[in-house]
Amino acid sequence: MRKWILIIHLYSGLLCAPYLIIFGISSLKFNHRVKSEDATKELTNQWEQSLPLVPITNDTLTATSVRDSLGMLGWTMPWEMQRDTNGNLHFGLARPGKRNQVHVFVNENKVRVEEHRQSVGAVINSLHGLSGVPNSQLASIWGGYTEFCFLTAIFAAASGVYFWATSKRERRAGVAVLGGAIAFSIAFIIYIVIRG
Amino acid sequence: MYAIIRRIHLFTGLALLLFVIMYFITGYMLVHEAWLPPAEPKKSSRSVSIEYQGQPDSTEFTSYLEKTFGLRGSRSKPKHREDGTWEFEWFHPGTLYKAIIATNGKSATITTSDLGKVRIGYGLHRLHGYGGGWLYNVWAVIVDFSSLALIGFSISGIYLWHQSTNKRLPGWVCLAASFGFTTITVVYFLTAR
Repeated sequence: MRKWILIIHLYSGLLCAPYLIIFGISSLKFNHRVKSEDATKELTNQWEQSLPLVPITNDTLTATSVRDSLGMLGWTMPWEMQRDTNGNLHFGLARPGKRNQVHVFVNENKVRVEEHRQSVGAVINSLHGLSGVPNSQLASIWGGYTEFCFLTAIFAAASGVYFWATSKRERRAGVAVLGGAIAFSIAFIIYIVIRG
Repeated sequence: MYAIIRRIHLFTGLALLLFVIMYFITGYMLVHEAWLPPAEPKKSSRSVSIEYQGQPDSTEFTSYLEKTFGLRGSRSKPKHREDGTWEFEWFHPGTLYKAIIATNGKSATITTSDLGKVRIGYGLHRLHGYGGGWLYNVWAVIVDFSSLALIGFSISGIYLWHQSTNKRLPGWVCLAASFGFTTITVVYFLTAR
C-alpha cells in the first residue's frame, strides 16, 4: 500500500512540477501587484480581412460570429463593445498572450484587427487555473491538466502527511510543526473571515 | 544534502499544509463556479455624519472611519472621484464595505455587501497584497511563503526523486512530458493568431 502511494505521489508530482512552479510564480506576482505584464499599449500588428456581414442585431452574437469566422481565439469583452454612429461594431478580444481590438465595418464587409501581444510573464499569469479558451483545443487540454494538478496537489498533501505519520523519523518535530501550524492556520482564517 | 532537502520538503509541507489545501480547494471552486453558483450579494446602506476635520486621503481619516463606523477588512487606497467625492473600500472574505464621502466632507453613505458563504471561499483565495493593514500584511506574508513553497516542492521533489532511485527513465519521461507540454502551451499563446 505504502509503495503504491509513494509511486503515485512521486510520478504525479513530477507530472505537475511545472504547473506548481507556474502557480508559485504567478501567485508571487499577484501578491506584489507586478503590473508589467498587462497588455502593451503598443500595437504589434494590424491586418484587415474581407468578411461577408449581415446587419447587426445583437452585438455580442455578432462579435462571437466574427471571432469564429476569422478563426481567432479568446473571449469577447462586453465592456469594450460599442457601436459608432455609422453602425460599425468595435469590440475587444482577449486571450492569454494577446489583446485584440476588432473593428467590424458593416457596410464595407470588412474587419480590421489590431493586435497587442503580451509578454511571457503575462502568459504565465494567465495559465494560473486556466480551464479553457474559446476556439482553442490546446487550452482545453491545459484545462484538463489544471484539473489533474488540482487533484494531485490535494493527494500529494494528504499522502505526504501519511508518509511522515507512518515513519518513525522526525515524529516529535513533525507533531509540533503540524499541530502548531494547523492551530494557527484555522484560528487565523476564522479571525479574518469573522472579525476582518 | 539529501537529508536536508528532504527535511525542507517535509517541514515546509507540514507547516503550510492547511493554507496550500485551502488554496487548492477554493481555486477548484473558482474554476467550477457553475457547480456552486454564489448567491447575489445582499446590500444595505446607511447615511452617517462625519465629524473629522482633516485630509480625506490621510491614514488618520481611514482609521477614523474604521473605528467610528466599524468598518473592517483589507483597506484599498482612497479614490478621489470625478464628482469630487471620495471612495473608500474595505474587504474581508464574504463582506465588502464601501464608503462614499460627500464633497464637503461632512457626511457619508456606507454600503455593506454581504457576499454570501460561497464568496467567502473566493475571497480567501483572492485575498492578497500588502498595504491593507497589519493583519492583511501577515496574510500577504503567508501568501508569499505558500507561493515559494509550491516552487520549492517542485524543485526539491525533483531532486529527491533523482537521488532516491537508479531507475530514472519513468521519471525522465514524466518530466519531459510535463515540461514539454507547458513549454509548448506558453509558446503557442505567444505566437498563435
